[in-house]
Formats: sequence, C-alpha cells, structure tokens
Amino acid sequence: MITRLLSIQYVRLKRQKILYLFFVVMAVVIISNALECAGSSEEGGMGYYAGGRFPTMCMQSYIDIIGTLFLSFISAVLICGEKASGMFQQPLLNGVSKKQLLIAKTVSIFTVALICFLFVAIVSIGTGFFLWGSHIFDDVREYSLQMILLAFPQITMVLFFVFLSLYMSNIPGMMCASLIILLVNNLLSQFFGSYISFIDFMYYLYAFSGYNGMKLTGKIIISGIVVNIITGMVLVYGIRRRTNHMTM
Amino acid sequence: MYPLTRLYARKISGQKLIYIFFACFFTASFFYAFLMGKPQIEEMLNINIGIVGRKNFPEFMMRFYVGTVGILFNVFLMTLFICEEDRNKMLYQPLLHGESRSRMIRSKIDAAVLMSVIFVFLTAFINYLTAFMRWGCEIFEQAAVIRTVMKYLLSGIYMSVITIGIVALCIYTRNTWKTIFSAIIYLLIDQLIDNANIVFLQKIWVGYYFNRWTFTYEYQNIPFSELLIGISIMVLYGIIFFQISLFRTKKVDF
Repeated sequence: MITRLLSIQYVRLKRQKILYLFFVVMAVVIISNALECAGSSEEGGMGYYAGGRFPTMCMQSYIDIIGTLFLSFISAVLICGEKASGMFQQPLLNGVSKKQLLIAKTVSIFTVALICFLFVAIVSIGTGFFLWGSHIFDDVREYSLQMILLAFPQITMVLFFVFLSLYMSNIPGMMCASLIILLVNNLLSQFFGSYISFIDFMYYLYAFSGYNGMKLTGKIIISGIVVNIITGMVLVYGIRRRTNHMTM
Repeated sequence: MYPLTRLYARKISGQKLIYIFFACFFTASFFYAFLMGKPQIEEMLNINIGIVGRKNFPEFMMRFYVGTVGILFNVFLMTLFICEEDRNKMLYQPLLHGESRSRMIRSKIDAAVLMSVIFVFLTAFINYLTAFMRWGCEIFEQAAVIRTVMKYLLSGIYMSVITIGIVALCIYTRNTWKTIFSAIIYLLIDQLIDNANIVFLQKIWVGYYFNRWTFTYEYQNIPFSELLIGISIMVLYGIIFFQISLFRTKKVDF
C-alpha cells in the first residue's frame, strides 16, 4: 500500500511545473554567481569563492533562503494545499491509514530535497569545472564533507516543514510562517550562535555550510549531529501526535 | 474611506502573522542596535559600527525590510488576500451586494497599497525607536533625518508600486504558487539587471533606481534628476499595473 501511495505522490510531484522552474532558477543563480566570482578580485569578497570554494558558495545560496523556502513551498502544496482543497483525506477512503499517508508525503518531500540538493551540487561543480578547470577539485574534501553533513539539518528541516504544514491551513500562511522562522533563525544564528547551537537544528544549516566563514570543528560536527537527531525524534513524535488527533 | 476599502483594510490587519512579523523585526532591529558594536559581530557581519551606527542606523536597517523580505512578505499577504479568497469563492461576494468589479478591485488595491505604506513607516518607526534606545538624541541630526525620511518615503512609493504589481499578478494568475513563484523570479531578475551592464534595460527597470538609492547612494543625498526620473518610472509602472488589474478583473470569469 505504501509503495502505491508513494508512486501516486511521485506522479503528482513530477507534474508540478514549479519543480522544473526551480531547476531553471537555481541554474541561473549558480551561473550568475560563477560569473560574479570570476569577475571579482579576492579582496572584493566574491573572488574568495572562485575555484575550489565555489560549490560551498552555491550551497550557501541554496541553504540561505531559496532552497529552504522552496522545500517549505513543496510541503505547503502537498499538505496545506490538499487539506484546503479537501483532497488530503481522499486516500483514506481507499483504506489507507493516516500514518501511511503522512509517511508517503514525508518520503516524497525528502526525495525532492535530495534531488534539489544534488542538482545544486552537480551544477555548481560542472559550472566551476567549465570556468576554472580542475581547480574546482582543490577543496573537494572540504565541500564533500559539508555536503554529507548538510544532509542532517536538511532531513530535520523537511520533518519540521511537514510538522508545520499539519498546523497551517493554507499555502500563503505556511510560507509566511516559514519566512518569519527563517529570518528569526538567521538572526539568532548571527548573534547568539554559541548559545543556540545547543538547541537549534537550523543553526547547523549555516554552520555546516561554512556561512560567514564558520569553521567546521569536531565539536560542531558532533553537536550538530546530536541536536539534529534529537530534534528529528521530537518532530516525528509531534507529527504522529498531530496526525492521530487531526480531524480530516 | 470607501466602506469596502475599510472592510478590506480591516481584513488584512486582522492577520496575526503581520504582528508576529513586526515583533520579529523589532527584535532584529534591537539586536542589531545593541549587539552590532561587539568586535566579533562587526567582523563576522563585515560592517563598521562607526559608519552604520547612530544617525545612519535607521537607513542601514531599511534594507532588511524594503527589498527581498518586504516583497516576499507582501506577496504572501496578497496571495492570502486575493488568491485564497478567489479559491474560497469569497472574491466575488461584494458583487452580490451591488458593488461593481472595478470598485471591488480598486478597494483591494487601495487597502493593499495603504498597508504596504504603513508597513514601511512602521519599519521606520521601529528603527528610529531602537536607535533612540541605543544612542539617544545623537540620531537626530537634521540633515541625516531629512535624508533618511526621504528614503523611507521613496521606499513607500516603490513598495506601493510593487504591491499593485502583485495584485495584478494575483488577478492574472488566480493561483497562489504561480504568484509566489513569479515574485521570486522578479527578485532574481531585479538582482541580475542590477549587476548586469545593460544600460538601456536598467534605465527602464522598476527596481533599478530604488537599488541605486538604497546601495549606491547609501548615507548620501540622491541627485534631484535621478530622483525625478526614478519616481516617474515607478509611477508609470504603477499606472500600468493598475490598468492591467482593472482590465483583467473585467474579463475574469468568477
């Protein structure tokens, strides 16, 4: 049953034109970043990211606002939009449980997050290779580690958006709430990074992508993984609780 | 004020998210005012408190609302206000009570523009308040105050034009995600045009002059000629967006 539900979700996602538009937009952002880096001196700021650090810069632009808002949008469309149009409970009429439905939706949002992230990684490396040749692999160990570590906060982020979507009743409301949460988190990460790193999983979106020149240390990596796992477990519990109490 | 406009304005102001957003904005402004002076924060954010602090602080903080964040915030509100109403079959309700289509959309635009201008002034008030709490009367240097208030007024004009554009987009697409995505595309194009060296395109682009006023002339007076051309271009765009909204509303099949 869950496989059938997943295939329905994937078919629905494949039909979302916004997914393809997002790829076009991200490709334009990456190419424009690359041209800006190539045309700037290292002292000018952007030139610092030319060459081996370019994939890191693209990950930062993706993580900063575009990617997270996009994932929020996908969650909003798949959950809030369907709830508002009365389509959310349709599969329940065919014997599917609420839990299976939520698992199928969460897994499909995870897949979108993975595809988008891989797209950014591949296109940034490809564009970098085209502009700077093999220099793009100068810092390959650093950005590979960042990419692997970023999987943790992104998984937690998806769970958080699913959780939030279950509480919000429409797409704009969900998007507005996500924007506010992202801005507050950005603010807290800048000013109180050392304190909120113990409780805020979103801080690690910045910490793991080397935002504002943050260095990856063993302590940050371990605390990031632990905070994300604990928050993920709390969110899963919250999603289950909300799903069980939700009136369809 | 026309009763329908008042009704719509009350409907927008009833959104709890607006109050949460501005409470967050106040917190952000407060943190920037009080914590920005720390050497490690200055280094991390790559700013100099000597330049962005005191009399220049309200102008420095303006960029955190007017632009990407403000436009996204307005888009979310407008989609809630128009697209979601349309989807719930509430958009044409006033027509059942004898209002005309053009009166209905004019009231929507009036309420939306009023709100967007209020939001800009609210950010100005918040920034002046936090700056006053941090630096006291030092922030009230006559030349700086006139320049900053002028820039906030110009931001109000720009945000009004963009809001009318968003209303036109909402009426045209009648779809939440298409409107939000179009606004994101607009923000990206705006950034690209600002960075590109296509002079002709820049001269006729709605956001170009505003970006120049905010970044090129930051903490400086804007030349009168540029002010005049910029405002004329924005007003022209505003009229076009307004006419598109009216035209499209007449054609809409509810």
